[in-house]
Amino acid sequence: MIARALLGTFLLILMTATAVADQRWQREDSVMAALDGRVPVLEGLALELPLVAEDGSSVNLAVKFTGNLEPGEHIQTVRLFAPGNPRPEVADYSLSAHTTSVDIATRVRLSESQQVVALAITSQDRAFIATRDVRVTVSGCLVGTGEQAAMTMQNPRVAFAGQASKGQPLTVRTLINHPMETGLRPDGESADEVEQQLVESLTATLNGEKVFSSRFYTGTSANPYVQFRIVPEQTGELQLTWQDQNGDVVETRQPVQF
Amino acid sequence: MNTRIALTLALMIPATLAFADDRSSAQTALLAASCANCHGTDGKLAGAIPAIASRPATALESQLLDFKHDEQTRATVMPRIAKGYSDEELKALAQYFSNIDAASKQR
Amino acid sequence: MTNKSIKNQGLTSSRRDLLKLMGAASALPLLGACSSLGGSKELSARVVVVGGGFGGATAAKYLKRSAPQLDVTLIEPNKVFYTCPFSNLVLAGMRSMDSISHNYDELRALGVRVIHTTAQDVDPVSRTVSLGDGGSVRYEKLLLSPGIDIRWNAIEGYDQAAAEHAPHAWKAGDQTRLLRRQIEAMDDGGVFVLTAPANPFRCPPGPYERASLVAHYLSQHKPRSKVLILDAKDNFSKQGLFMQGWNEVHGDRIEWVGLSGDGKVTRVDAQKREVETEFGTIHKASVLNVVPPQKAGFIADRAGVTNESGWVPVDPMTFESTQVNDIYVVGDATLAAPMPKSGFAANAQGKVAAAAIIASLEGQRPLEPSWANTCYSLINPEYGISVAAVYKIQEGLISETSGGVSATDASATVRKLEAEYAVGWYNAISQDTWGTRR
Repeated sequence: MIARALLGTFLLILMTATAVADQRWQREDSVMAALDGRVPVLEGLALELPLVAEDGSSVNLAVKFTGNLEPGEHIQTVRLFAPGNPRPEVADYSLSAHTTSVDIATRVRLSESQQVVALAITSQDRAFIATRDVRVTVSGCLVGTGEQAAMTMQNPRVAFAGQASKGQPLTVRTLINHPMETGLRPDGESADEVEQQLVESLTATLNGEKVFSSRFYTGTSANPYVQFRIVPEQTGELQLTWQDQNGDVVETRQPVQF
Repeated sequence: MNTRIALTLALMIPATLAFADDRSSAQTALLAASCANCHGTDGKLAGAIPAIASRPATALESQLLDFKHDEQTRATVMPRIAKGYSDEELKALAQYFSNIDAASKQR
Repeated sequence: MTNKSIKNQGLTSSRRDLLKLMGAASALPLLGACSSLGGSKELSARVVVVGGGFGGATAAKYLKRSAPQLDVTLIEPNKVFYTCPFSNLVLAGMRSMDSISHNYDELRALGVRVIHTTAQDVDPVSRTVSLGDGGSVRYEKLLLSPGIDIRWNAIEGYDQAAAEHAPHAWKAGDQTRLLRRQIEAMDDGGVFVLTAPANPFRCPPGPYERASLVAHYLSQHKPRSKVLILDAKDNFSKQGLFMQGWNEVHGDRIEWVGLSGDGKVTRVDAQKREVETEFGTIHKASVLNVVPPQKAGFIADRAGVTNESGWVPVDPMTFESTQVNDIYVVGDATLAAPMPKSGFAANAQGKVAAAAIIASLEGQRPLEPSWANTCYSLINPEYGISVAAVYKIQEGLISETSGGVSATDASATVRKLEAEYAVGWYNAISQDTWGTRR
């Protein structure tokens, strides 16, 4: 009996050690700062990325929430980190109570193989975390945009996947053309880097009410792409507002019809 | 020392050497197998891309080193490939292909 | 995977090592066998190879050459194999189907037992492959070279029936013939629409060479026609060289729309030859060529070697499955990045896996692997570009130790030379894989 108890204890220690060993995010300042003392729940948030990314300049990422929330509780923010990048921040998303299902997709930039981290914070100040290891075979830092891309926002696009219907989640896809210069890329001629130029934010309002917004950092790929879900209760209009770091604004609208 | 053990050991020394030799020749054969994709099995296929079997080792080696150090002006893919190998590996490859009988009918 | 077969190593293998050491003394002058990947003359075991493409045919050949006493069985449904490499030349009318066909006569002459049937299932516990003809074969080592399968319906509306109207032609054969007939029948002034998938997929430069050579054909036979590429990526293989070549040779005949320009196709209507993109743009085609998302060939799933990605993770040292012992997997089906899913890579992996199988049967540790890859693409019959690389293991992962693409400032003479080398390359790899000589 004693031997079995000892064995049990030993296995427990071993398992704890393994769990801790995989929690590399605990050593990432950016992630720990975002957690701000909260102890995250390890189940419930799902992060999807390819195991191997053959082009680090644009890697598909999806984050979904399937965990349990208290009555009245909802996810307020989702934050993405790529701790292996020169700057770890990728994007922050703010959700309202109306955008109930967390099902966000985007395209991120990864400079090297690393563990990507997603955090979700709820209206009751609880945190959920998900991580995913990605092997990057061509660094997102090495792929240039080819031709000299315009430094301004162009061609905003928006589309719904499928038909909208009352009270049902509706997937919104949106994209804008912009090089998302990180400020870290050598310009190839002088010793300087290409000046940083980022799209700073996207705000979505449904019939005048803010339902979703996004803040972009250097870890978001060129031509920022965001897919998110809204739950329209009535027909009307979805308005998307993109703003770059210079304060320039581009708007696009899409009618919501049942 | 027990004579039987001594005898066994004495027998085993050359065997071990032969084993090591075998292994290093298999290792070179595996390295060389990559060349066959463009130069034919055993480097024997002559066409737009030349055969490399039976050519003098010194000539092959110096050509490979020229590719590696960008001293071949008409080269296309070979400088990109030669840079992936150490000088010792290029020497071993040159030796390997020089030892192949280009006329033999092996498949 | 839980149905891992048990590794029969340990004591037995060290005993085998010793026997091998003792035996080697008597078989000393064995070094003359230059091309041997390490097999001794006495080595006998049953190795079954599934798939007679670049990976499988090469592995079968090099197994038999290295260890002639091995019982090597190759299972391949087709008596004639058509290669994807150079099938774009067939589409452009530059070559016949016959010129990209290969048979298994040379492998048979080498002593490989070739069975023309499908492999239906693999039982890794009893080490049995069940065959489409009702029979089965047992193995001590199994090598799968399954190639790709299409992910039907990954793009809405693109299923097997749709492929009869909008061919993929991403497996050479009848699909190649069908697409060729459609291109020939196209009206002058028509639009050839090619949709390209996201990574990873078979032959990364393939869609762009196809667009180039179809444009070449159109320039000669239907000069008012155009080529439109709708791409689910913003970056692709040899992109700078292709775009430069298109500018120089094809002018505005070829239009490429990348992911961020709304190039990702999400719905196909094959009957109407119409596609819809992510943001709702409809494109109408005269000929619609859908290169769809892909996954490992189905026998890999049956053998339990695929993971959630649909592809096969392998030990880079040996190309043995990381999920099931004694099953080796090579070629397009594997997760071997940064090596591309190319015929050349499959051939190179087939050799490494053959050497690893022999080493394992002899109870030895595997040889240090190395691979190369060279892919030529044609902008037109006289304009070739290439990518080449050497791969070795670094820190336990396959890594590129050298490589690169053709120079952007190369002369017309060099482009022509690379177009000639492309033909030399095809002839050599065909000879090295199937023994074909033309």
